[in-house]
Amino acid sequence: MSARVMEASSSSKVTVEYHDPSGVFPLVSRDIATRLPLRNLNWQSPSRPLRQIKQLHLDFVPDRHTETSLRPPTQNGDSIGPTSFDIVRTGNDPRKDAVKERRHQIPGLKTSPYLKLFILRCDDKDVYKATDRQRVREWLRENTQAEGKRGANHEAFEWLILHVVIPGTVAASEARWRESVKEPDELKERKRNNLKLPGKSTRTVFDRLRADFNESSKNAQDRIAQIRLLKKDVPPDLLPTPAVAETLEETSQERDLAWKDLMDKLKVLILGPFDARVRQYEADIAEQEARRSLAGFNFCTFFIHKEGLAKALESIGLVEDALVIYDELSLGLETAVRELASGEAGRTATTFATFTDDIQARIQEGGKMMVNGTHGNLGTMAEGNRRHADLFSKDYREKIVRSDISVFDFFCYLFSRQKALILRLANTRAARAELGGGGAVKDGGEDLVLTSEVAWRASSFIHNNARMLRQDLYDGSQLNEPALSQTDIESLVCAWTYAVAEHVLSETAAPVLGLAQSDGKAAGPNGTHKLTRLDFAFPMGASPYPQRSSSLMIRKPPPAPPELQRPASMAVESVGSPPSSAGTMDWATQNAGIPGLPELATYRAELLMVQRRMGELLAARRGWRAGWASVKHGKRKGDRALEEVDLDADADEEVNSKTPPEAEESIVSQCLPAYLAQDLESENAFHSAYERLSEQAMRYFALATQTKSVEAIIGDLAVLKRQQGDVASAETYLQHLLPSYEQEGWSMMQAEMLRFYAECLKELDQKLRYVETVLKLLGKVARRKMAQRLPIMRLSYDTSTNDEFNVSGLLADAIAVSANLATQVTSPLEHFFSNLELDREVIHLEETDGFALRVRFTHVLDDDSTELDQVSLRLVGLEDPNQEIRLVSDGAISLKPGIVELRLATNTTAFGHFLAESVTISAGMLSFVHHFQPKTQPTLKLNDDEVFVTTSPSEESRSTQPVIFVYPVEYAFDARVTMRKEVHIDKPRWLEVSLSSGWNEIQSITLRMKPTSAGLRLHLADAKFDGIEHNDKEARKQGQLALCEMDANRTAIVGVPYTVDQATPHISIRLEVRYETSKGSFSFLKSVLLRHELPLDVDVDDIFRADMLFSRFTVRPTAGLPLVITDATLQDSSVYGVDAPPLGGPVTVYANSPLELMYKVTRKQDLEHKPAKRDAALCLTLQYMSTAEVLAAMVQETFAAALQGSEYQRLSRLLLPVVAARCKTLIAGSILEVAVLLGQLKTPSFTDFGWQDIVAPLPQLVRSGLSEWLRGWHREHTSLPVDYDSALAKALSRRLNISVEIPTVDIVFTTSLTLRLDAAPRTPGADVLTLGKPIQAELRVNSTDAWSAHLLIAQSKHKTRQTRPHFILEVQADPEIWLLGGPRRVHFQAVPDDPVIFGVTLVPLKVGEHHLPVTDIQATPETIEEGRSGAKPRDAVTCETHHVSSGRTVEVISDVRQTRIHVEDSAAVDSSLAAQPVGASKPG
Amino acid sequence: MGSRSPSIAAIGIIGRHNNPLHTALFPATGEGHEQQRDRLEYSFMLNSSLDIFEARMPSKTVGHDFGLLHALDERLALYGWLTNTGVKLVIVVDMEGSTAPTPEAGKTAILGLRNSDLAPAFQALQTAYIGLLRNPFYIPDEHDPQATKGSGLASYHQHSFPQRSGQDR
Repeated sequence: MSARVMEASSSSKVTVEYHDPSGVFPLVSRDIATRLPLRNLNWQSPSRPLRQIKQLHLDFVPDRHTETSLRPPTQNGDSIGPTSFDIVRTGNDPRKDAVKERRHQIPGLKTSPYLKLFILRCDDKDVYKATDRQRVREWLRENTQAEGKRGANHEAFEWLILHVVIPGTVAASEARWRESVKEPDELKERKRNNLKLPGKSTRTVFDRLRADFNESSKNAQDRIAQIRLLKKDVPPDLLPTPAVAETLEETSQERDLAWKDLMDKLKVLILGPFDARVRQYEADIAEQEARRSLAGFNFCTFFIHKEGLAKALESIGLVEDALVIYDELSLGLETAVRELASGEAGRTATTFATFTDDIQARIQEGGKMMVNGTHGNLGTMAEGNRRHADLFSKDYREKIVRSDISVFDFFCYLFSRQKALILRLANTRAARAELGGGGAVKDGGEDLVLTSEVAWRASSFIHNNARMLRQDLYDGSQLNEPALSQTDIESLVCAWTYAVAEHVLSETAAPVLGLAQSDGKAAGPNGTHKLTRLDFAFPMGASPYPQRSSSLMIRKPPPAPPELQRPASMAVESVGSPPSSAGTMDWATQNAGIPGLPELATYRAELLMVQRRMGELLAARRGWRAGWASVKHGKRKGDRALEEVDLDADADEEVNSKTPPEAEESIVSQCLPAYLAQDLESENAFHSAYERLSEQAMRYFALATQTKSVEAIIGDLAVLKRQQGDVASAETYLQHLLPSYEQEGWSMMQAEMLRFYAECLKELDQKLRYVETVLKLLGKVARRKMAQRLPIMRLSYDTSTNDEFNVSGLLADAIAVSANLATQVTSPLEHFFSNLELDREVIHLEETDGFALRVRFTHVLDDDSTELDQVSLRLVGLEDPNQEIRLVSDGAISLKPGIVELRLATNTTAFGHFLAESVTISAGMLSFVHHFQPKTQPTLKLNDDEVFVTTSPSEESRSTQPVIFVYPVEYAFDARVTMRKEVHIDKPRWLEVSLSSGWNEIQSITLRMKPTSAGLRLHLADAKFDGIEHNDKEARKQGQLALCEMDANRTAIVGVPYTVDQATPHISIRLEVRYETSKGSFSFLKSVLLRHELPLDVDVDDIFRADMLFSRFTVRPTAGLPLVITDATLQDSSVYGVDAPPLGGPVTVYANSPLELMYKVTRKQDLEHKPAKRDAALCLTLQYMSTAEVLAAMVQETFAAALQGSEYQRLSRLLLPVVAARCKTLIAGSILEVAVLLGQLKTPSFTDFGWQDIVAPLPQLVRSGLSEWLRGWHREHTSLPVDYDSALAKALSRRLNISVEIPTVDIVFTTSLTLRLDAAPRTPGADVLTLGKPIQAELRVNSTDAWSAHLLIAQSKHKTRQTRPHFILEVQADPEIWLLGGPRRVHFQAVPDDPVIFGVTLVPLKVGEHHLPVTDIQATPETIEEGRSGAKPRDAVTCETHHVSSGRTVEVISDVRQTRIHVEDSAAVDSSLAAQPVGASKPG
Repeated sequence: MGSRSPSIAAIGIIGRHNNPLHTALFPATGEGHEQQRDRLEYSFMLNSSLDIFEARMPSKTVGHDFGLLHALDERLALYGWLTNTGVKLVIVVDMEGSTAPTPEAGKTAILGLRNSDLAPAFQALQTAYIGLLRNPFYIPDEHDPQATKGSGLASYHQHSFPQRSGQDR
């Protein structure tokens, strides 16, 4: 360390000059040193608030006289007290003094003493009188005169006479203190004068001194102090011989008082001149300020004056105030420079040197001192500090005084001063060392907030001044020889920046940062350290480093003020920040809460990054790169290799890279200091330096929890690792980075990372992850590109072309790699390909069944050629989701950027609406799937009848999920399922599957039928084949029928019986036909819904007679559909004969006008054997047509006929089914009934048919024509006549066979009631009875068992009659009409063919025509005998009664042939003459 | 070596959730200086600057201006501004971004920018952003990765922007 540096730094102390003619100063210096620095001085200046100076460091220097004359004793003293710092310091003084003296004309430049100290050894009064008084007088005169000569207060000082009393002298025996009268413990100084001690002279030396030299005025300061030395402290050669006997031993209290007295005097006497000086400086400054606008103002002069004040303040310990002044000065300098630059300062005399002459040397010199290559590590920090301190070691002030300092140097000087002041404030190690106490004080008490302030200021200083340096060097090189090249200048600037950063880093190295460092040290010396997982754990709180929390930040205002460019305000802010509490904190335990630590770490990290950047810049000149820059560079190089068309236009390359590297290298290395040159020796050295700096910075950032910066550095390190060949750790690094970038949408960075990551994975041969990463990357890029296709207004010169992220070849690569994967990798299609479109138009294949759809999508990536294996589309039936069609592209597809159009074909034939479910693009093991919104399936509401969906799914789902109307080509294979026309109600019903081969030469058919409604069983085993052979060789599979070959244009019918478990109105079946032709394998899909319920109901009513049976059939249509019954017959069976009336032609039956048929059934007498019950049944055959079917068929036929002649025949397979379906729904209800009644059908309109929906997806070419044609057809066929006799209607005629079982009755009774009339009725059939006249009647009951089962039917349960059943006959007569004589109820046993006769007396009670009473016969109810209640009851005996006389009526009249008239005696009675009929009940 | 003066090198608009909304790069002008700015590099730069926003946020009570965030080297420095909706505006200034109009300007440029120099630029940016928000077709949430689960467009393109606003006045 040179003397100049020390001079600059020692300005933080107050100089006290001592005159020590007797050489005793060394004796007291040790004691003084222990009492230094002075503490708690209060300085009050009128212009300023009260300042407390906590510590004031004193610097004792001997004056010239002492130095020259008394060197030997000083040396001597030195040997006595080697710890006395001031003696050590004096060693350098002569040079300093010399410098000082030369600069006398400028105030403030030298550290003139505030206090001059005369150290007087005066052993007794006599000596004093003789010589010492004179000596002191002379010394005083000399000094005070000098002061007067100058006439300014720049060098204001005070003087003090320190009387050192050597023990054993007379003076030592003179008491100074006496005990206080009032308080014994308090010592009082003896009175100065007129104090008389017995036996001694009243005036001590001390008293005399006071009397002689102290001014007598009241306010005068006491400038005399006395210190008594202890005997042991004094070297024997100084002790008087012989010693005075009565040496007064000082008590320790007295000693303390004496010392306190001295120290107080020092304080007062230092503050006095300090105050004077400050005023003087302030006056000077004010004067200068006033002249600022005048011509001839020189900033340098002003600066010197103002700095004088700053130095004064600093020296007295008011560092904050000094800092404020420096900040003001730096602002002032900036203003001055600005004015100068802008030419506004023409009138001022401020001049600066145009360039810095020695900076190049200083920068380069820095490296010479370096010994080893381990610079920059923690251990060599101090060395680095010393090394780079040279950058600021220059006698700036001299140049300032001469006004020829360069601006660069000026700023450097200001920065170094500010830095020193803040560091002193921050109480850093460096500052403490300078103040002397450093070694002893432990590491506590460092204010990191202020330390970080230094780092913060340093970074802005570095950046601003680097620019200045460049300009400076440039200017210098213009004038100097040899001229520096541009490269040299750049190198020098880099080197300077690097060095200053290093310097500041070493000065701000707080011990607490060692926490961060310790890891770094463990990393190993040559940077081979690998980051472990723990290193990445910092954001999650697993870090050993202190975390910064927001509460901490609130407590602690940041040291970094937001405005760099206003240093004055910044300084105020930082100075005004609360004093650090770090000193009192047990920082080891409260590590986390250290204020300012995060900031310090951040700024240090930034400095490290600056260093790294400089390294990068220098390395880039040699073409070495690290971190992301290398990736970028590599990429750019690659790009250029591809298109080396215009090298001239390639301006984005660095200028220097064009020159040959060899020539350049030598130049660079010349200009670089050795420490940098070493880092740039080789690429590897550069890399390790880069890594070292990065890791260090990363740790600091981590300490400050600046995660984003950490991540950025980790990214750099990852790239570096890969450059170094350590791909695995690069991969690990990146793996941790990716999620955070992904989250926040920094897509650019993420994309780069992903690509790099992918490259790493590829090198590591991690195929699956490689593929996944590439897909992620591609998805990202593709999405971005998709977004960019949107029409967006751009900035006129927006550089968004830079966004283009070249990913060509990656997709193909990923596909190739994926081929080796074990599992399929599925990703959403829409992330990679945009504008997926599906044509709704069905394209029919030529000459084969099946169809194709066109699909389009945009390949947004810039891949030149990517091979896709297959693109497939899945369609799902709208009504029946189990119907599924898969369309595939044929063969591999070569993908080009832009729109890709593909034809996806299938061999499946189907009809109906299908929903596009998903599109899958597969390549290798990759598949990209797009689902067309699978969630919201449209719900279909089916009517009672079979329904085709005319209402398409809701708009929103249609928009997302395309509905495709699939229909077959005209000549395609077809299969139709119908009900067999003839239905026998007791037998399984039949389905008829009619297959038509179309144009296919079918080799084999597999028919799969699957019931889809509940309870339906298809009995495929019992299927019957017509027109096709069943292939028996084929193994039978559940639900399948294997069929043989079928020629083209043939039809065949397969009948399949079925049963249902429960009565359902409909059955549904899914039909799947696979057929092989020479052109391949095809399939046909259809789901069928058929009406199972019969269209009519038949009710039977039977009326028994003894010898015949009348059956009445009521036929009524179900579901309200009118039917036409063309024929109805009841066939007789082996047991029964039938007599039927003829049905006169077809009858239309409506729901409310049913058809009634009556048949007479007789028993066939000649039964040789009893037939089975089944055979006994009669069979009712009904031939009928459903009018709805007929009408629908009519419409269809008319339509088909019209179509046949038109050009749209090829669409018949589309149109006809639609017509059929529409007819089914439209021709129903009242329309149907009206049509049937009128015999004419009003054809539904074009709109009712919903043709628009059908026509819409057709090709444009066909659409309008077809639509027109259809409209025309509807116009022409507004109504159609209904003709039930046509062949078509005949073909639709259905037959229903109902077996009618004739019920069996055990006994049929024939009862007849015969009246025994007196006279034969006058008119036959009209019996006349007389009212009230009893009449005898005969009730004859005939019974027969002719209808009983045991007679008629074999295997009947009632083979024989075990018992004769008992019956109850009851005569039912209305009691108001008939009075019944005889039993009303009779029990009797019926014996067939044996009539039973009962007599009954009837008395008619009412006049009028009345029915005869009827009889009712019932089997005797079971009498349950007691105790046999559990016995099985006998089968009930059934009986029917035919009451022959039930219809007969009788006339009841009153008998009025005789009338008796009775006349009373009195005349009065005559009037009551009444004719009373004879036969009427006579009174009496 | 001609005199250079500062110009805006890049403007970054960063959303409330630290998602980038817009990044515009302005290449340096002048002969021999036209090298393209690397978007990736600037992305990293802007991303790292978020740390500083975050660190200063708790103590920042009044005002939008974050001033100098971070000086990268002698050429590039980042300045920040925070709107009260949490959108961060970052301007990267290239101290040698353009040719100085006058030699004097070149000399003053060496001294660096005063903080107030950028305030008008930030105000212009904020006005432009407000204008964008008032556009009924711009839905801010569409550009928020947290609202759109990362599938949203990562950036928007500003509709109009004062060209090189606030450049060395």
